[in-house]
Amino acid sequence: MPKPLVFMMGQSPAILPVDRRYARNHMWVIEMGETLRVGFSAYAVRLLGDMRHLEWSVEVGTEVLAGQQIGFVEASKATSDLYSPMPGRITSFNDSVLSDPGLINSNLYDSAWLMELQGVCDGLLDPEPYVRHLEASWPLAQRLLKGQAGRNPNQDPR
Amino acid sequence: MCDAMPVIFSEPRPGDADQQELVLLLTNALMSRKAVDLTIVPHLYDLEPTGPTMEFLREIEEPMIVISWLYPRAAFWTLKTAGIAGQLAEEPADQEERERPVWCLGLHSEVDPKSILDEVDRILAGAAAPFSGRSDNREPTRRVEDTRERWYPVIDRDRCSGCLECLNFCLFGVYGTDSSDDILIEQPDACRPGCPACSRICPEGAIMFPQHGDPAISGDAKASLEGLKLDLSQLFSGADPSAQALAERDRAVETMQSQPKPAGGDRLDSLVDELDEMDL
Repeated sequence: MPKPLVFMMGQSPAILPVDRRYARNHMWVIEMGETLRVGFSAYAVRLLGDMRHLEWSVEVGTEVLAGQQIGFVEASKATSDLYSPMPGRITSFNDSVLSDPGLINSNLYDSAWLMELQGVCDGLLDPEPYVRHLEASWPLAQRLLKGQAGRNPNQDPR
Repeated sequence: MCDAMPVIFSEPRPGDADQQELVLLLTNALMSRKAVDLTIVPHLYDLEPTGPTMEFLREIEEPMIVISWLYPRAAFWTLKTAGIAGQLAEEPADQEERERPVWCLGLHSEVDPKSILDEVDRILAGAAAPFSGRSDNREPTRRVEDTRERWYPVIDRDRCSGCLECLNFCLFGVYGTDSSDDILIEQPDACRPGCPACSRICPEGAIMFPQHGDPAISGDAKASLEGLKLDLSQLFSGADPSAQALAERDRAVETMQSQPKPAGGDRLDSLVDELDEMDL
């Protein structure tokens, strides 16, 4: 198997297998016959931390648009709404990760896939362009994280 | 029998007249108590661990009271990190505990000075042996040391689980490990002023930035850790990075307009300036 690409998030490597493509919203997509299987990239998992809870707000059979909100994830470091990486019809969700979201941390590129769709791979990036996308957006992603981490909702007079 | 209990009074950072007034009121009231041996030191958080004031504090072996502009938990672990032995005491009975008790009383601009003095009196009254009282009428001891405003994480070792998430997350090389692989704040002054991100990343809420405006980050033991999680929806929507930056700028501007300026508020100005310079 070809060597995966690595994107360094500070001192932490995000491993990116080259046998699949990636969406700009940090999900991987791999063709499985007539369906497209989707999961989180290591970049996403690294930012989120240990997965605690995963839920979908749409049902199997739903036609979704690229960027449509389809679910929610809560992890040790962060929460996020989840968005479809491409247009298509959802054919299945992975029950294993719904019942044990922690599988995503241990097996994110294999058995811990999130869902399968039938659709067109519009707008997906090959691994190298995805790494370039990460390189280009990493400083701004950091600013976003730090800006939010620095938010100050309860100003204390001290 | 001791004549008096060491009371360490940490000065505020310069510039706030209300705080200076409170200092004067409290130090005068403390000096009127013969059972108090008062020493005034520069702002505790800004002291260098290797400096003469921390060295002086390390030499105090008896139970002591520390009054500072920090939450008690933040003050205690700042001292502990500098090698000052003891345990954070809360009740007068804690004087019976195995380790030397250190009472840490937190000040802020709106604190009722009477509540601080009452607490000092309560601790003095609970002393294992009564104090004979100072016979002199001297001024408080003042430790003078050049300090600068610092920004670095303080770890609550009672909460830290040793997961090293902070080490992995920090981009500035602040953290390291010792020979037992325990977390170490290796280069505190490499920390980016104003950035408390590792505090939010810490699953145990063990990392404090005592000068941060959010009580859950600055060391309030009672503050909830809920709501500290980052919301990454913007990143995971696949939004264009320039749109993210604009949203960040808008948030920074909104924050500046809606809230009083924190001590480290200049960072917001520079952040907005930086983003403006990007010509997005």
